[in-house]
Amino acid sequence: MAKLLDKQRYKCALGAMQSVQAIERALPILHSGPGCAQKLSEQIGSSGYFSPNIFPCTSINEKDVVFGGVKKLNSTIEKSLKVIDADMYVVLTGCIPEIVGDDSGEVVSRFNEEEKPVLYVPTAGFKGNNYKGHEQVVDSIIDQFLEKSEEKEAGLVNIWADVPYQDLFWLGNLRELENLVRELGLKPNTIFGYKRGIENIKKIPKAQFNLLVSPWVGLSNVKKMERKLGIPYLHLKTLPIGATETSKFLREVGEFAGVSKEKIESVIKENEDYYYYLIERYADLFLENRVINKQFSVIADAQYSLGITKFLVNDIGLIPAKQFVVDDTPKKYRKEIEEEFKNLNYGIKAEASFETDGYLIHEEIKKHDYHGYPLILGGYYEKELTEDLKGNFLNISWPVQDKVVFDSSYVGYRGGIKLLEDIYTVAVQRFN
Amino acid sequence: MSVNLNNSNLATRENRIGSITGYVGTLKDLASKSECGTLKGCSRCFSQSSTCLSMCGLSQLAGIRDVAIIHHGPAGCSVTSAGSYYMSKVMSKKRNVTSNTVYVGTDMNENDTIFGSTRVLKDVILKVNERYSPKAIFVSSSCATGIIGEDIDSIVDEVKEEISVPIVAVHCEGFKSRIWATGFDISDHAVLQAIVQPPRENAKTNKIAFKNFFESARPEIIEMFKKFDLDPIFLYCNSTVEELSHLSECIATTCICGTLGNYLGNALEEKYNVPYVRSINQCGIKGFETWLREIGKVTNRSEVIEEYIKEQREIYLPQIEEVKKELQGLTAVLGMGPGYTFEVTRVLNELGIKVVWALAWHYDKKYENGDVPPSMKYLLDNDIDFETSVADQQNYEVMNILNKYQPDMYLSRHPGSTVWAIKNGTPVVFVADEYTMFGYKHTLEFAKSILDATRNRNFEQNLAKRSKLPYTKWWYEQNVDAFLEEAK
Amino acid sequence: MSYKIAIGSSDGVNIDLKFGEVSEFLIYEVEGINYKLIEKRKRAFKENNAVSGDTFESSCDSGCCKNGNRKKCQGPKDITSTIEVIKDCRCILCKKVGFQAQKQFEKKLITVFDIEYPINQALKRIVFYYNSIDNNRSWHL
Repeated sequence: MAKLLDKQRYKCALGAMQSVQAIERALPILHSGPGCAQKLSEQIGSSGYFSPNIFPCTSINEKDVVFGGVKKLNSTIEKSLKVIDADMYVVLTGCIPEIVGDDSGEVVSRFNEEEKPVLYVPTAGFKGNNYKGHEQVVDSIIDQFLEKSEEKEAGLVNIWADVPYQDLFWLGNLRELENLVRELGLKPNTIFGYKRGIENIKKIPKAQFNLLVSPWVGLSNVKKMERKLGIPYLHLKTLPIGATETSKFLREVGEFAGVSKEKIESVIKENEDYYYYLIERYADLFLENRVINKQFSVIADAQYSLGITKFLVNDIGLIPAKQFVVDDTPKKYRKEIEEEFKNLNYGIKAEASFETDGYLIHEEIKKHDYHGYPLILGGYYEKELTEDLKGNFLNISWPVQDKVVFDSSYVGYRGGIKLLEDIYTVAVQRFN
Repeated sequence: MSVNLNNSNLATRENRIGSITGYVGTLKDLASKSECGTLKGCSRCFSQSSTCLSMCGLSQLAGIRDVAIIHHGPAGCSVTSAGSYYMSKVMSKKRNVTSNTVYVGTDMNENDTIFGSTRVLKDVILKVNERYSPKAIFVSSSCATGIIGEDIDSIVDEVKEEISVPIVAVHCEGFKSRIWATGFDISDHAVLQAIVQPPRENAKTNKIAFKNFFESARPEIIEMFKKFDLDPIFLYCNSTVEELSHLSECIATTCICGTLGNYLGNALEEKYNVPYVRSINQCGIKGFETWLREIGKVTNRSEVIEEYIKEQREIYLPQIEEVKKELQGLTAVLGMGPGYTFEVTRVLNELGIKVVWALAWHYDKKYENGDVPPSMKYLLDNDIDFETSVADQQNYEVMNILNKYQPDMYLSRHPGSTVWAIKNGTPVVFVADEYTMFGYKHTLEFAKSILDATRNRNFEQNLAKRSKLPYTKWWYEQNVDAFLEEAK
Repeated sequence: MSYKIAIGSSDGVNIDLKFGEVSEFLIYEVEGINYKLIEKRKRAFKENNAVSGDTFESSCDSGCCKNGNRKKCQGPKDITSTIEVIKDCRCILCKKVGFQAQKQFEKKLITVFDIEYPINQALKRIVFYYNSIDNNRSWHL
């Protein structure tokens, strides 16, 4: 049902064109109006080999609406193959062709014999948001491009996490997850970002297992891969930020992968030693700063709401006020995620609310007694609110508009340190 | 021209003025055809993305303070709200005022496309009104709601009975037009329908309506106009509903860009006799002086303006001449909206830079009152010709042209377009701010920054050495008009 | 409310003529989703410098420019006077319509559909479409 989307936190399913863009040398081809690409792209960091201005688009007009746009789609795909140099062409359909009834899938199937793969993803805007759209893109790759492989490569682990461009830290996060998995002696495989592309996609069926690091996005993908490609999966709901969660992560992944206990513990020890060296050095900052108080709220998608809550509670010793999950999580996943929020050290339970109405979120925050300066990690919409409450604000979830991120990450031991740096950089802008 | 404010729909720019996309030829060709109205445009069978017209129109409206925009459609359509939120906060802060403007969406889903959601829309409007008490409400449709036949107009009429602030339906069904500048006309139309009031009795003001984008030169314009006893009201960024309601009382309307301003300017003239200052843009010396003189004529302040011009010339012209010496012989390619392409060409000519190709994103064959755009006329009258093509932000054409002509610089205005030139090794001057060449001072600054851009080639050369452009070799070997079906 | 549609056809069965080739337009009147052929209208006059296909010569031949009268030109006489003949129509269906003509049509708010279809098929679709949007109903193929 339509609803009041006040201070929105996501885009429509067609926003998944960014997931395609994140695959090196994969080209989104849009069967949509002329403006969708520019509108659904981030203003910063969307350049590269392909950028939204380059995406071929059928630019649907009234004639296409009345008489169908399949002819135009056909010629657009044809010409794209000729003019643009890509490894994979992914046709995404927008609202209009899907309402009007164009059989875009059939048009795409005419290109099955082409040298380069041409895929089809139905991502009409009203079908869901871009988290769902991202899953659609991965599904389409599995359905239309991958085949089961009898040959498996020991130690090869596909990693699924984050949603490119929706999360500003996506590139760094994926790389850090790879690093952690590599430290265990395994071979990480991801398909988004620098030098990963189609070669890595082709490796997917050979993996020993799929590692899904996400509360819910991607769960349907790994289940599908289990069925079609016979790849087992390990589902870890929490994005590991900081020592507690990262060590837990390494243990769980290592055990699942059959890595020796010694190896796992030695990796953990080495990392934890350095991590706590830094924490101890800056203990004066943590314990004597007058401006960071105990209560915090995170307003973000499930990934960050959960991950950051666990970090701030289990590592830094803060107390969760109410947390807000704003990605319109499908109802079937909510209960388990809520449980996970209650799974914190010292019997602390965080209360999480699934809410997409920004006004209501703000009202809740205003009502809550933070007894001190609230620490708010959220979207740009929370900046003014936090200032009014004299709190400390860090922009970490979409829309991120007061900072620029290239490849920094919040994942892992280093990620926890980075998050602390960012939080305390805000804190030191004032004394009390 | 027929401005019909009783109808919330307006004929799209293509219909109304006879714009074209897709033309290749020389400027003289374009102009002479334009004057006859016999322009031969072309269609395309391969296009790349351009801009959504609702993004244009609604972000304009979202610049007004303390209003509400309700964009009825799937979540993608209202993504603009994030950017608008940011803009209204930082721009109002800059002027030391506050804006509580909200831009919300309705997250239309699959069920809604089958069963409709006009009831929900009504609730949403009432809720927004209750939460934020906006001074005006704009309710916009989208492509999806347009196709499924949501009757936004009726809902707005119903709600009118229940709330006390102006509320108007804004029609943004994108599939109905490919020329994105229509969004500006749509926002003007909405403002004229819902906010602008007839002039009050005996209201004589020295206020001049000044339509621009982001008012970066506002303080200096206010100061300059003070000398002429004129008080500029900047639109729509940071405007209030109150001041917009009195636009009909202005002594004149002017704008920073023809494409942006011509609908409002013509409508205010037709409906309320507010003269519209028609002139080439105030870019460069000639532009600035012509514009000022036109204002002088229209507002009866010619004498004081002439004095000002004389004074400023003495200060700035010698400095500009100095810089010109170093710019001699440089060549440029331009890619921007029509309001700008021809204007910037004139300025570059003033600075001694030769324009070898100009792409204008779309071309308004005639402005609202039936005449050829002034900027075009000026170039013809002064015998300035160059190769020109009309596209709608089609990057592959840009790349081809840059590759063939190898100019010293590429000037453009729209997000995402500059990066291609750089990867080709061409220095870029991103003419983002509408005041970049405004008046003597900024023209001088502009000249100096061109010099800087062409001097330090480090960034683009480093990138060009490494970057691969996404086009196949095959494409580069084609002519620009390979994909224009009827060009020959 | 009824409206008219102009069609360029050589045999009354298919839309098979380019705009420039049409000597007689078939005019259909539409009421709701029903339509019927009500008349045939001749185009204004045929140009002597032969019209092949729909692409008129690019130079304006109305003569107004030569007189130095550069304002308010209405385009080649042939196109505009032809459009006058069908100016009461909501849209025009032809195999191909040159852009000069398209722009002139759009000034008169007449939608151009350049398609090649059997007449009945095309009309069914168009009247369904207009019927939907005129009555705020969902449109789909």
